[in-house]
Amino acid sequence: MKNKRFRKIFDAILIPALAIISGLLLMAILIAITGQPILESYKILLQKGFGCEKIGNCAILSTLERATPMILTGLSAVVAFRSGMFSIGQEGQYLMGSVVAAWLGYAIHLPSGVHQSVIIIASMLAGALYGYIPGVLKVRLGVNELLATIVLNTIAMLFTEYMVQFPLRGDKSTTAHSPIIDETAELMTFLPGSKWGVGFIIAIVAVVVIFIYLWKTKSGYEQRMAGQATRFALYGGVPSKKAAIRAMIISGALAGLAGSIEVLGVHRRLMTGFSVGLGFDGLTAAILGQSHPFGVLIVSILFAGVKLGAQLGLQLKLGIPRELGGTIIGFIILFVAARKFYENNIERIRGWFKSRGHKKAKGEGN
Amino acid sequence: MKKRMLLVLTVLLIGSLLITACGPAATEEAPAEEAVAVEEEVAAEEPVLTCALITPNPLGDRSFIDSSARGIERANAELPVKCDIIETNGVSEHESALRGAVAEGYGLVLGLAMDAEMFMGVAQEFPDVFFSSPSEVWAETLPENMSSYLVEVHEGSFLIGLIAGSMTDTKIVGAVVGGDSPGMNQFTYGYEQGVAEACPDCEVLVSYLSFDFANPTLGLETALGQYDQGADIVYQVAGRSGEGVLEAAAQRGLYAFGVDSNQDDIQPGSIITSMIKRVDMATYDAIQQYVDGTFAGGFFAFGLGDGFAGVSWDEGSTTFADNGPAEMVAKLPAAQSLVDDYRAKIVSGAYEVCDSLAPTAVCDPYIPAE
Repeated sequence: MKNKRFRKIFDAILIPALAIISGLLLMAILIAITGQPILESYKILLQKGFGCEKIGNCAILSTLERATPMILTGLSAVVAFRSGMFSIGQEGQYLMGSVVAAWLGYAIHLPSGVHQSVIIIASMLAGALYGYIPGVLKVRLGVNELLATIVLNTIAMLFTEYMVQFPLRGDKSTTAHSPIIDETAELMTFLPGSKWGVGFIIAIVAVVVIFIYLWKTKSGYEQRMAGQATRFALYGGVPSKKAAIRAMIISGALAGLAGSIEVLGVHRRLMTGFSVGLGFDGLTAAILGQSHPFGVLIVSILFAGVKLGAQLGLQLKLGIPRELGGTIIGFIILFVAARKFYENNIERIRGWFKSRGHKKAKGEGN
Repeated sequence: MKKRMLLVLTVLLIGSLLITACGPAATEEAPAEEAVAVEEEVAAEEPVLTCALITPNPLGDRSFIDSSARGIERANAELPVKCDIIETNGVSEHESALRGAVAEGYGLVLGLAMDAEMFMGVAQEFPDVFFSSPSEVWAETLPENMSSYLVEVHEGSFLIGLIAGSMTDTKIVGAVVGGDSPGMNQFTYGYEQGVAEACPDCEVLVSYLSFDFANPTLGLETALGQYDQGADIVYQVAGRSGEGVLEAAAQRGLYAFGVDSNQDDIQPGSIITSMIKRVDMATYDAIQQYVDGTFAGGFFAFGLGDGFAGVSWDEGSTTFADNGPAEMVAKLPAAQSLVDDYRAKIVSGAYEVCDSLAPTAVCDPYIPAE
């Protein structure tokens, strides 16, 4: 029994792991083209992405800080995917949450503790509302949620830009930004030198909560069933329409939460160009993480680290373009998308080992 | 056949696992020694002055980021300093890049279009490092180790407006602007004022692109629309989207103005001139101060008088004079003398150009009624 479960987890991790390894190998080729030492490049990438030289300049902390919004938008995508909604609206929901957080951060004045809680709840509501729209459009009118969320993303982007340029504009600077939020609204950070703080803890809690919700509760089960086998779920009496809308609301709330954490914990204000595709990063994290909360957690940290390592390690130390980080991630996604290739070959290899006897079968893939 | 393929795959798989698993561990020693050796070499010589430029977005905008990068190149070539460029991709990477640069030990860290609060916070945290912003940072006061440059783009745009007003045949000119914001309207209003000054009965068409600075097709279509409405010269202030505007001018055989850098050569013969915002000079100036040991914190505002803002003709660009149609080229001397007249007036303070960031009564005709 236990062995079977282990086997299941192992299977789930195997393909992403192989994809990551393949991506890193391809990277070696690209680095070789730039003429830099390959092994040293890997070392620098790891050091600058996941290392920690001293407190105040600790790469892993920056990585965790950057992973935080990705984890939450990733979770948001997981909830939607698991319920059969291919929503890519995380970016829009994230932005709506950010706008609300930036506004309430300076517009209302409350004691610390209450202030953050109020803002976070308001941001989650804003995100949830923005997720509800495509959900209800899908269920009532049959509007494809993919198209609806693409359109809503653009609207949110332009709305954010408008808000920061005009109503929320803090001063007359050439680059627009909203006023700094009150100190009572700031989320605590743990160590100087990075903005890693309470936001990350919230993200971890969210991972656990979503895991429990999806796999250990009745409504979570309904949602997964509605996603995996809509007709069967209907037959079994699962209110799949309700489940779909509920999924979009939860998904939106998570993305909105990411926005509030990014504003309260990191930037402390909204500025022009705030939308840099963190929502889409979450989407990739969800896909590579096998639409599983813990998968998203791991992948987000990995992605954030590779990006940081490429930017501050490869680019600064070796003069390799920072885009290489993004290229590796792109390759990894490509390899995951090509999972059939691995699946077929893994089966073949397994079969080969099995025919050779059980003893050797244990050693495969290690 | 199948078996052979299997074998190959297995070998590849295991091989790849081994390489990646052992890779980092095996390299531990050798590069470490190398690094020590390099450090000793550096220490043996006299201390090297270093600086880093952090770009807000990747290089290649053919505009102010590239302009700043030119300043770095010039400093590397002419000054005893070694400067690097650190590219970032959007606001979420700015702070870690700044901190990374400080940790690397650069003596001067230049941040382009960073968030003021964040930038000043880092500057206060590391008082031994110099910081500078070649493009404006908005604040009441700056830390002692930080300087901020402001280029008066409204004055440069005014000159462009003068040229447009004096050279148009249809008495309709256009402007394609990246977004409707006070920062962008420094360009728009200055241009409108220039057109009105040179040609009081001319009409100015203004189109905004909803802050899409990376969409040449949108710029192209928007400019074509303005040409269809009778405009014969269009001023682009729209980053990469603006390259579409320049393309539209070439397609129609009409005219456009470039912005930020000298863009005259992108469509030779169609671009009359470019509004120059010398972010490279601001960048170079900050580095020179640092190298000379005279680095001072505070605000520096530069405009027409200092050559930080102007038109590409000031740099000796003759692309349009060489490639443009004869009847338009014939109008250049008149436009040039108009530019020179007003430049002198503006520099002496006799003439005021509307600055949308600090609007006075001069701006009233250009600010749309609410």
